[in-house]
Amino acid sequence: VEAEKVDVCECEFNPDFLRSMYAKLDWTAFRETALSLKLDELPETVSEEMLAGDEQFLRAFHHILLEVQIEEGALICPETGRRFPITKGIANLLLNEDEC
Amino acid sequence: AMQADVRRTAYPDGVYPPSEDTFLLADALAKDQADHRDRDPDPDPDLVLEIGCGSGFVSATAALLFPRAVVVASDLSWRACAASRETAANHSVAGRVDVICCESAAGIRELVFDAILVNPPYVPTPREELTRALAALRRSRRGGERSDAGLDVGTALTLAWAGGEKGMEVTRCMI
Repeated sequence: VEAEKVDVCECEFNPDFLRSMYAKLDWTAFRETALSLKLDELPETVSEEMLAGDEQFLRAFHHILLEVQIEEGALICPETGRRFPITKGIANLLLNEDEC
Repeated sequence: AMQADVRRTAYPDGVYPPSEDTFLLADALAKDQADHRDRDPDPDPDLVLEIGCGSGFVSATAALLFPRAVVVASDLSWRACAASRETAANHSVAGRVDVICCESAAGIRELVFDAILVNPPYVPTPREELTRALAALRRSRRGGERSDAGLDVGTALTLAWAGGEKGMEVTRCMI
C-alpha cells in the first residue's frame, strides 16, 4: 500500500466486531499493510487472551481497521508490481484494456 | 428498521437511480434482519458485500440496519462508486462503507462475507449488447490509470441493466 493522503474517521469501538473480523483476516497481510503506513502498533501474533481482553491491543486493532482510511494512494500487487490507484477513498481495481 | 433516504442518495447521469428493484432488495434485507433477530442470538452480519452498488442506496441501508457492520460496496462504474461514497457520507456511514471499483467481486480476495447483496443486471438483451458495453468499458480505461471520465453515460446505464441472454448472463457469472 502507498498512501499520499490518509484520513482518520472516528468509529464506534466494538470488541465483538473485532473478534469476528480477526477470524476473517489474513493477519500477516493486515499487519504488513499497517506497517507500510508507518503504523506499527500491531503485534506479529495474536493470542486468544489478547482478543478476549487486551484493551490496548483491541484499541490499536480498532483504530487501524476502521478509523484509518486511505483517501489518496495505491494498492500494489506484490506479485506483479501493478499499481491500483486509490482516489477519493475509492480503490480502482479495474483492468486496462490490454490486461483483460 | 432504518432505510437510506432517497433524498440523500446520489444518482447522477449514468448511475442507476434507486428504483422498484432497489427498494425491493432493501425491504428484503430489513425483513431478513427481523427474521434473524427472532431466531439467532447473534443475528446481524459483521461483514457485508454488495456487488453493483450503483447509487449506494442499498449499501447505506445495510450500514444503517447493521450498526456495527462494515459494508464493502463494489461497482464497475467509477461514477457509481463516487455516487455510493457520497450517499454513504450523506447518511453518516462513510466510515463503514468501503467502496471499490471492480468487475463483480474480481478485486476482492477470498473473504468470508456474512451477507452478499446483489441486484444484478437482469433485463434480457441480445448477447452482443452486453459484450459491446463491456468492451466499451475496457476501452475507456485505455492508456490511463484513472477512470474519472471513462465511460459514456449511455453505456454506463446499459451495464446496469443489460443481462444478456435470458437476462441471466451476469447473474450466472456471479454464481
